[in-house]
Amino acid sequence: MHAAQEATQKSLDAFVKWLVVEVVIPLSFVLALFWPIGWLALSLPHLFEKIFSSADLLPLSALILLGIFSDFEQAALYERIRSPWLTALRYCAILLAVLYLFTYGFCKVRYLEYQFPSPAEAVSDQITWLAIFSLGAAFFAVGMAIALKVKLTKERLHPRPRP
Amino acid sequence: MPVEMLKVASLLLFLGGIVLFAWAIRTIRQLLAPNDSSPRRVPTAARYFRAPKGHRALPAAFDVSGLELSATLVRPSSSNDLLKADINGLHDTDRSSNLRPELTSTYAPIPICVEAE
Repeated sequence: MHAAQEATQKSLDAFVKWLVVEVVIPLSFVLALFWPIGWLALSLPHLFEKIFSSADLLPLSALILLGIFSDFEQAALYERIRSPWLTALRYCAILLAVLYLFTYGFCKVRYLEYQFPSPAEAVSDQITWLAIFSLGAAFFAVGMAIALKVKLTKERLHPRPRP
Repeated sequence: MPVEMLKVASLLLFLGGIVLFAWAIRTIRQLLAPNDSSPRRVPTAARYFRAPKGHRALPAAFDVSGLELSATLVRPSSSNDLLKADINGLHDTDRSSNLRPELTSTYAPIPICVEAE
């Protein structure tokens, strides 16, 4: 195999391993509480709101983003990857992670204060949208982490010429 | 938090996530593209190479790692000696080229056999 193709293949293998270990496994444990475990085994009312409005996905997403920030720091330190674009992106990642952790506190307090109604009654809009917001935040964090990781892989394979 | 704020934030997060996923997929496809001849892939040595008059230049994405190269000294008495090289491992259209001796010294790991005519 050509050397460049071999390096690309190795980098993509490392990317897939990172994706499985740091993103898919932690998130799938939370998502599995809704489906299939919650859906099939537990017959709880308001299952979606009870699982996702607790905002447990927010600290997990923050951890994924902090991991990406750490990767970028190491790349800047040891591999001399100093693209200004990547520097801006890595500070965006850590800012978003801190924002997620702050938001997690507010969401968790709101969740703990809320008394879930009986199965026949509907859950309040705020709790439902809190659950959707939590899922959206996780979706955005995973998208950002994957985009940054791929960008970092590209910079490692094809570094920009120094001025 | 007000419900409207949660709605707007959720919508923005989902839309932003879709954009980021699209960007990641685009970058992965660029990485996997077989014939990427963007200028950033040109090795430093090849950037400074100029083919002699009447000969073709090296391909833009020229990468000699792992290639075997044998060369014949064409004009041994000239101050600007040229090596006629046959490069194994390139496509048929790129099999032969002319390399300057100072360029071949850049590719130190490649064994070069020189025969004086």
